[in-house]
Amino acid sequence: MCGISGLLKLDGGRADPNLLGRMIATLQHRGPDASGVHASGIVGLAHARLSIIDLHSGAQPMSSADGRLWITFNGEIFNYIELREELISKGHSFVTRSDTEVILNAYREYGEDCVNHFNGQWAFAIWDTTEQTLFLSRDRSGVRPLFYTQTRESFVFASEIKALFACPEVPREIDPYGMDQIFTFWAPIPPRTTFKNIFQLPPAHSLTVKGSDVRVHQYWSISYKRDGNSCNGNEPRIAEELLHLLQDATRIRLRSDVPVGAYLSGGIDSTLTTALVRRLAGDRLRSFSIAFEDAEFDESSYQQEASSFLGTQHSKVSCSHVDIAQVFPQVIRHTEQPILRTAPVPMFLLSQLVHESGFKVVLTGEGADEVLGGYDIFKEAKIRRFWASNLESKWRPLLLKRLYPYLQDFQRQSAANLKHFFRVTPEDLASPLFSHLPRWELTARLKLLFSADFRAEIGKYDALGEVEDALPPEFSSWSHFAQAEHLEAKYFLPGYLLSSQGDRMAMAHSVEGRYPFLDYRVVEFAAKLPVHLKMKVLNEKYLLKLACQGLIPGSILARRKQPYRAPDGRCFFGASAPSYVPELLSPCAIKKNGIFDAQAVSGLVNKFRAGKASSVKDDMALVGVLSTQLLATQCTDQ
Amino acid sequence: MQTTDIEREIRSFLVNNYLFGRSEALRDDESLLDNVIDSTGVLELVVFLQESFAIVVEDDEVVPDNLESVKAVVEYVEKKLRSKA
Repeated sequence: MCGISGLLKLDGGRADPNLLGRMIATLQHRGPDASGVHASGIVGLAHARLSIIDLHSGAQPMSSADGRLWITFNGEIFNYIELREELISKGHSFVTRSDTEVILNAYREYGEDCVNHFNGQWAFAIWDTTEQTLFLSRDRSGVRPLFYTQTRESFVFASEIKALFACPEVPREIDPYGMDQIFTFWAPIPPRTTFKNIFQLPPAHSLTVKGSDVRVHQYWSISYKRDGNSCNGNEPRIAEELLHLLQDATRIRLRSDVPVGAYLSGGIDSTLTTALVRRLAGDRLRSFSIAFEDAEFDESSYQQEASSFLGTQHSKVSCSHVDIAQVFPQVIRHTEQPILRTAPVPMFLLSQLVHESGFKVVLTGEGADEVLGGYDIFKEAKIRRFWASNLESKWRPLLLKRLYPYLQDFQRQSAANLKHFFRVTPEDLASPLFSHLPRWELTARLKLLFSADFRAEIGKYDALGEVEDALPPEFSSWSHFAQAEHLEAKYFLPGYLLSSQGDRMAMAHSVEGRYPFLDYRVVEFAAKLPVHLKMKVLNEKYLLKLACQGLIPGSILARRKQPYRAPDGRCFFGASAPSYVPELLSPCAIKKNGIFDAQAVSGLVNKFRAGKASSVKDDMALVGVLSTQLLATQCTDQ
Repeated sequence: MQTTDIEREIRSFLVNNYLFGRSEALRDDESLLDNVIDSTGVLELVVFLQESFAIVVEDDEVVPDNLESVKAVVEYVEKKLRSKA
């Protein structure tokens, strides 16, 4: 894993190696082992290296043997060994053992279509000196980030926005539409970001710059349409097939010239991932986890049980309210976008532990909930639809009590109240966004905090309308469950889970996350599964649980799902609260940035100070305001 | 306490506690459980009613009939106050 940056002069000038050096220096946390710059004529590429594969000859930027192609690459092509053999059989030769050179030769052989041959997680740029073409690409799920902007003089790209800001001509201005999206979906919708005129390449997309022409195109998408032949057979056989795929996805993700560890959260997904790693890696596997001082969030007993069962050498980092408040500014410096929950913070502390333990690579269970039907939001939508088919039913809405068992205030509600909260109107039922409307509408209420001027800038912009307009043509032919999966995989997974909570937290401490559940073969297999194998009645990840039998402790298999969460707003108040909190939330600081209404924020802050804030909405509001204030301040101070 | 005082106090709480002080977001016909209070925030309203009006809100009274609108909450409080008198 690494950091990349580069630029293409559109005005015919020469790429400045000093500027490229300054850009890549901002990404040193992504690649502390080496850095390199290649500047020639109108193009410049830069690379900060975290050495994982081919430690001795994999330096970048790298050129093809004939010097025609140059590449800067962040990520891994896990099937590079097979691809290498395939390319050799087609007459290509190699001088290194790296996956980077495999990309170069694959590009030579297959052109822009090379990405369809890759199984991995990548963001890279290739400069073709003959064609004078710059080709950028990002992996299918959006594991690796890739941002770009265009100024009057240059096309500029990088793994993180801070490298773009190293260019003096790139403005640093918060984008009201991006903010509107974050305060609705938790993340901006690609290509938009938090900043005006800074774009992100969407997952599964490539971009080509030739002359002044910039072309973006999608090279892969998931279809949830069952083809009639897929996944036929009995449940144990299909579960075995899934396990076989996961085992192979894990096998190729263990390709590394440095030791590989695993995250153990105490849930099914990471325990199975660790079990599969253990099968392949032998008995010296290291595992890592987060423990919370606050018992409401702590899962360490399950983590310990999993570790003992699998025989891993386990380390954990303990996270307190004080820890969260203290490192929050560093976390926001890395997320580069506002966050509405503090859940990324412990992930930041966890990657620090991994780094200090001498590890650069961890396998984790991310993606299982998205591709195999694990989320409560899928269950919630199923219950709401089931109830809506007989609105007079007295017992159907009682199923709502099955939702969110870990939210105490939610569970204390009467069934009658829950009926109201989840009431389904005919308009809701007709909406293609049905599954996500309660979540997105609740989050969107936070926009009441925006100042009048900021709201005026947003104007009549309709974020939900933008999502609806971008639905794929075949969306309406998918099952309701698949529709919900699509929305989750497109709007939550890459923009928040794999970014704010994933890549950005791991790479803050030079740690690479690898995700077997996001192997595209697993994703495509899961997309074809009948819905009842993902959620049988209200039993989530049914098929995965079947596949896990005997591989993970029975108690973990049987436990009620507890999503990963962390303590939120309350961390920032009390005697030990860091001084930046009252400073950034003061009316003066709020007015200075102009994004939020100072009086509204004061009311929110007073509620927390009085210990009267207890709702999910208050927590999201506080964390959202504070992270935005940090970001706006860091952005101008950089 | 006059009805208008009760309503004013309840409105003020709803606006400040759930709508970040934005009074224009609380229309007269606003459905509280749909658009104002989220599922984890109802208990705040219960505590407020108990503290502000010195009434005891029973569990089986925390239902939509009593909470679905400003008018419903006001009527509920008035009824509780009458039964106390």
